[in-house]
Amino acid sequence: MSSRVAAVAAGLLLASAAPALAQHRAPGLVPDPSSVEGGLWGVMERTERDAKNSADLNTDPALNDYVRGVACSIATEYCSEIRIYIMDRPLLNASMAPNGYMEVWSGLLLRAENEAQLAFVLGHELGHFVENHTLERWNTQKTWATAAMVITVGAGVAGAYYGVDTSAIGDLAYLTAVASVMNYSRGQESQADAIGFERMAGAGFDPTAAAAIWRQQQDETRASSFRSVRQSEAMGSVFRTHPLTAERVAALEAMARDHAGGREERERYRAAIRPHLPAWLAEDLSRRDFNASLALTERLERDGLDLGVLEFHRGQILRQRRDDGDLESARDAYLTATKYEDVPVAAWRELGDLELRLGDREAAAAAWRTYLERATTADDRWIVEDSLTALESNS
Amino acid sequence: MKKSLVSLAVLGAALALAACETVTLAPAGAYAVGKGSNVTLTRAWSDFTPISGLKKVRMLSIDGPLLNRLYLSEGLVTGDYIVQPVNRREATTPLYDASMSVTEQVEFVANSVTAMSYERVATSGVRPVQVNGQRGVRFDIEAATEAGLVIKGVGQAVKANDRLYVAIYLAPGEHYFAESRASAESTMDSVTF
Repeated sequence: MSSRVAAVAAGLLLASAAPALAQHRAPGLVPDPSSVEGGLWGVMERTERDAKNSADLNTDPALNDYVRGVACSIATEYCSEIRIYIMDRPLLNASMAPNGYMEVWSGLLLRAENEAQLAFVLGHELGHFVENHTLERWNTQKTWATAAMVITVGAGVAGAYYGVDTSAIGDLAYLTAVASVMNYSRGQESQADAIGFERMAGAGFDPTAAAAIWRQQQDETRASSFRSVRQSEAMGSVFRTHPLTAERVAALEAMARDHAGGREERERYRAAIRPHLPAWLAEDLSRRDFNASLALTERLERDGLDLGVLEFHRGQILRQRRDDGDLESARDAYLTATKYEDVPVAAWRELGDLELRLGDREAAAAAWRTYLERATTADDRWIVEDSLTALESNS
Repeated sequence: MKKSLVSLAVLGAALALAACETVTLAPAGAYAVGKGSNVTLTRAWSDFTPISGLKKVRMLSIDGPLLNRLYLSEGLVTGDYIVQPVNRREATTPLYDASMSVTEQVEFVANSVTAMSYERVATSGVRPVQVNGQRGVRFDIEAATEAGLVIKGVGQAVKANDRLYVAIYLAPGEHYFAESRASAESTMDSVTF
């Protein structure tokens, strides 16, 4: 069996090196349902239905309107066909299906520094859509679709025989097949880069933004706490399936040299994502890649915006990392956070806990009292009151 | 190729079936969690621990792990996990530390629920609890599965003998959570150290 699998894998690799060509998509195209592309749309519609029901779906109208507005600003002629789903998932990712269904993950929105960078990534995904890259991959990877069907049927038969639910096996095969279709070749990625760049720069955005977001992701990957991540080209993200090479970044830099400067829209971008910043940062921390989270936080702080939220988050990272000296650094970060108006009230609770652990009882008591003054309805007030009572009874 | 894939599917189903055979009955009454910790079950549960991959943590269920599950830890010490990471050198799941504050204990439990692949995990109703003479913390949990199913739960962390004893009850908010909550909380009340 292993030789057969190897043969299939080799076949797929060859296919990815020489994709079958598909035609440029005209705006408003709706394929015949009986065609290959029509069938592919059907598959993607199922995935889109799952996205609509996903717990990760971000339904904030303002954020959705904003991202859609950026997409339409670079793709006016396709605007009516694009359906964007913002998913609260911490990795840098975006994707677009041939039926116009696009996913934008919060990990991308958290990492893009400005509207120009977001416009480039959206333009890149649009490039796959406009050039029918998914259809090309479908044509070259029919084997995956067949394998998915065989596994699904086989699991169903086995499940009926043994009386167990094997639907998960079928779902896994199905998702693997879908993922394989969305895994583009190097040539397709370069073409999508070029399209994304031209659309973004053509709409008046800063042309250096394209290479910049790539480099930022490389820097974050190099900072990772995890060796397996550092050894990858780019942290688990859209770039893991998008070959990221020095040549690719260099190509984008070369394109930028031929274009005049444009707008970044840095503050407008931050204003759009600001309501979600605390939640997205917390989700990012749940990956427990502390060093990468620190690198990201430090980069976000460079704009001098949202410093209460960001310094509090830095404290959260350091407190959970617990390396030598981290508790002192976390205490300092919480203390810094308290100097800004946007500081989360929890900063005083955490500050009090750390001050006590570091031996400053007066500072601990002061921080806890401030927490109790400000967090008037918090359900954990009794914890802080207990701590304060214990501290005062021992003094 | 087709024959091989069908064989693979059959093998997978057979392994799944074989694994199910290791689920045992945990009858009503005393149940040993491990290392000196016991609980009293007010009804029979099924013990899924042998197929859970968990260490220092027991996993019980009434209707199957997708419909309700009760995690009970023995006393955790610094360096222990509720959810084991795939790679211990790259710890992607929360690690317990004995110096954690009560707030951090709640955070540790919530983050561990996230590490079980639940989404949007949130805690509320953080309240003190007395369990066999020890003051601990109990709180409500709300989460969702990736497919959007609302999950409700109750978490508990009690420190005794320099160890942390954790209990987590999780079930779909629709019907199942309320159905088994009393039994789960009664079990949480009965933890001995």
